[in-house]
Amino acid sequence: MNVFIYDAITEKYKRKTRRFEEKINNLGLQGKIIYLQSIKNYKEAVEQEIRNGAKTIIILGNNQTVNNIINILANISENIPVFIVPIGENNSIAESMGIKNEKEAAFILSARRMENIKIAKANHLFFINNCQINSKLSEIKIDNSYKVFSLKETTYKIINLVDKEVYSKDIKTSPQDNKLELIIKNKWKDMSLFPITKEVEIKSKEERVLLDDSIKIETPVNISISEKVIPFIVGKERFF
Amino acid sequence: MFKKDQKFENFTEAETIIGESVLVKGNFESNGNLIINGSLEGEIKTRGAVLVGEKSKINANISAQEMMVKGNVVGNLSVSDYLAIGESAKILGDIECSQISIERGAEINGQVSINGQKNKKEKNTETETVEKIEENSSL
Repeated sequence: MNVFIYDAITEKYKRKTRRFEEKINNLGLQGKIIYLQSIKNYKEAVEQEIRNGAKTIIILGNNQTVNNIINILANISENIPVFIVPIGENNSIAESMGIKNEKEAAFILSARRMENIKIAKANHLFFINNCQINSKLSEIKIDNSYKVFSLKETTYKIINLVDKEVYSKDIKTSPQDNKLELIIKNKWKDMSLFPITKEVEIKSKEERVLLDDSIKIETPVNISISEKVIPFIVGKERFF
Repeated sequence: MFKKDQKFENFTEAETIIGESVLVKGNFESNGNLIINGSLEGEIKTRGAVLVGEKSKINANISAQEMMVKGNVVGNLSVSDYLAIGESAKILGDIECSQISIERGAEINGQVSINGQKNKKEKNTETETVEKIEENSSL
């Protein structure tokens, strides 16, 4: 059974959501719908649907919605396939997976092209895309062996999924290579790139770490690739 | 110029890039290629190649398979294969490598040991091994 998880944002983008629903109906891919805004404990609701034998989890929302659901699935032993329908703004995760908009989404879902992706961990929370922190007064220690300092104020970005910008620069990285990458750049001409095979430790007196463009957490933060693998249904034009 | 230097002209397949505005402190170990345009203090060990750019400032011992130096290095260099030293290079430390090329203008202050024989000897050993395998397989 398909389980559709609707973020509250779908209320704002009713026309787009309806367009996706029409396509889903035409393809015969209907399933159960969970409206996040109408449930107090959505974690329990998602877990219940998985216990009931959910075949695919389909998330309608943005990066923040995906991050919330990933943090539920990360603590469940079953590896249920996940699909993202980008609704609204801040949808770089869906974009990396080759899902540009709700129009294409239904067809990509029906094709069921699957890729296993290891998600990353920042202290007790999980993320799939990236995490970042302003370099000001921040200390970065990589693989417990060396420290990196930026002499100009910039952003440290630790990536798991390749975003559009990184993809366009032909930087070879993948969410399937068992490592993360640290990118530091003011301008691309002055870009720095470090592979992270074990762990990054971030400390900062002022700044917080932003996970998947949605949640901010206090430092110190230890970041690494987790053992959790989630199968994602992806499009042909994915960035990895 | 040496043909081998052309390899470094299109040296973009690097696993690690240290940009101009970045300082790295500590022990850096890798299996891949490394481009350094910034500053580094500590030690570098890689099984790949290292390109030290013109604006780089390095205070570290470096161990690599291949290397091209165009910037400032204070430390010893141990290169198992080929070392190219550009005209803008300033090296304060001892050098050990199998093959070397040095452009006019480069500054080196230290002992240079070029052990080209070692490579030849290794290649001869490899050839002998191949011959032995071939002999065995024909039996």
